[in-house]
Amino acid sequence: MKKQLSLALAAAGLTIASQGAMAMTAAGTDILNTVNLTYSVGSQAQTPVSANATFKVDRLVNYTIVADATANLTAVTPSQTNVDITFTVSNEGNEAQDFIFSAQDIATSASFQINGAGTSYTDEVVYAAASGATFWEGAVAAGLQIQAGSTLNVPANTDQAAATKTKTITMRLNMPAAPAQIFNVSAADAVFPILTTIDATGTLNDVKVDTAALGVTVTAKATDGSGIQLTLDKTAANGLTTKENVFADAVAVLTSGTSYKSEKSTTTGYKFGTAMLKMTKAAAITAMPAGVTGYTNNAAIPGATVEYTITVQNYGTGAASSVAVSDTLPTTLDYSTLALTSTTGAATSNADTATGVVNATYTSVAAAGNSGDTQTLKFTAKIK
Amino acid sequence: MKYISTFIFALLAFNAQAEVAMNTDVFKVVNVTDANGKTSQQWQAPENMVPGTVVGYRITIKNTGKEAAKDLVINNPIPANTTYIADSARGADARIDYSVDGGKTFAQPAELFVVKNAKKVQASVVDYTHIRWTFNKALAPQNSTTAQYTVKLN
Repeated sequence: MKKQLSLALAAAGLTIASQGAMAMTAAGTDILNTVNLTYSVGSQAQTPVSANATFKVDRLVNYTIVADATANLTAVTPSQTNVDITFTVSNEGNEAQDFIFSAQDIATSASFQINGAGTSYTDEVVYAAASGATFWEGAVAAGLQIQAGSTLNVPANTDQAAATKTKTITMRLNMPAAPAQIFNVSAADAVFPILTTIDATGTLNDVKVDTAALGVTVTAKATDGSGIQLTLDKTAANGLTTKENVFADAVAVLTSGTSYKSEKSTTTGYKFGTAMLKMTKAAAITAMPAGVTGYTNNAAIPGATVEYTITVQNYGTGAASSVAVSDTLPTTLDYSTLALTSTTGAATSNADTATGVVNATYTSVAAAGNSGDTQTLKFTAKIK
Repeated sequence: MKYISTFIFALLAFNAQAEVAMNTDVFKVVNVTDANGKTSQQWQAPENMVPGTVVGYRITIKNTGKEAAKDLVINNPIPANTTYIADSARGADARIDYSVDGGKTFAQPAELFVVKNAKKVQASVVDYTHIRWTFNKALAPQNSTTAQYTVKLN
């Protein structure tokens, strides 16, 4: 009984939903009103009279474009490829609508270029594509725009299948190795910070880079199907028996006087992933002095060997590059016995037996969130 | 001359029958707020007719004959792709009824029912198919009267 009841409720719910989603009348439809009149004179019925009035439904241009990542910028790191942001374009009008798109840098108003054509954006490849078919890729002369004619067609809301009235486009970013090429920051700001000191107690050091963001405005422009943006004059004659374009307020942009174009924008963007470096330093007595044997545990006595282990881990969201580690040993150690024992992953390393300074550099420490790694440096010295 | 007079008399008798002319006009109905913040409904020229537009129909009937016309009944199927706006039908000296069965039967809104999900329920405006004005006064020669209603374009 319970199951039957819930089925009945579900059926009722479906009926209500389908009534609520009233389909729009397609543009160009003739709406005919026929009125009939009967009357009589005296007791005699007269010939019925009828009258008509007709108008043609105009074309409502109305749509939305929404970035899936509007609230949060999408994190990228140098050399990361195929970082996609998707946009949903919904046709709220009563006829299928064609669009072209453009994308601009919010900070500079510069249009994005493909493959470095003509701007300072030299390395990145930024393009958008209709889901399932690329049309924003390749040789586009000016800006992040679709080639004329290669428009996105979104079906109208004239049937009740809501699924047919949206389409998705994708903006793709392939990050260059040097972030300054794409983010609006000076080269000095855009490089990752270098960890240059370790405090004397070996306390953990967390270092953050400033985040830099690339804001993007993506604009959907309604077109006539041949790549020409729709425009109209709101004071122009609007015929009763002809189909004209009518812009919904949300997509009408005043150009001058009473002339309007139709476009709608949304903003989103990319940000640098942040590198956060954590360092640990540990010491262990690994060998007793020569001539002292038979002890289970090593003791910190003159002549005993101390091994230091320094680890550098990146647990941020962006890779850290040019990481340098430097350590000056205490004077209680015999510098002449200083030796590196493990330098895996280091680009350069050296131990100065005169000054007691150990240096190592690492080209890159990947982020922990990106299967990041831990760099480990080991060296030994004897106690004076 | 006698024959001619008879002929004229016969002609006059024929013309003495009522002739009622009817026409219907379409308007775009918009709410306009004046400087005092008072909102009123305006019937404007039918421009920019898109889904959601409120459409007004005005029906004018005029007795162009020489005798009173009575038993006047206007029957107006609600145009396809439109939905009647509740309580918008007007007509002086007329009872206004509605049909939800394609014009077979007419009744007042409270007495209109449809079957949904095998249940008899009160009809809503989306169910209305016809509007009927039944005038309870005769229309004197050379007099006019109007009926009107509004719909929303789906």
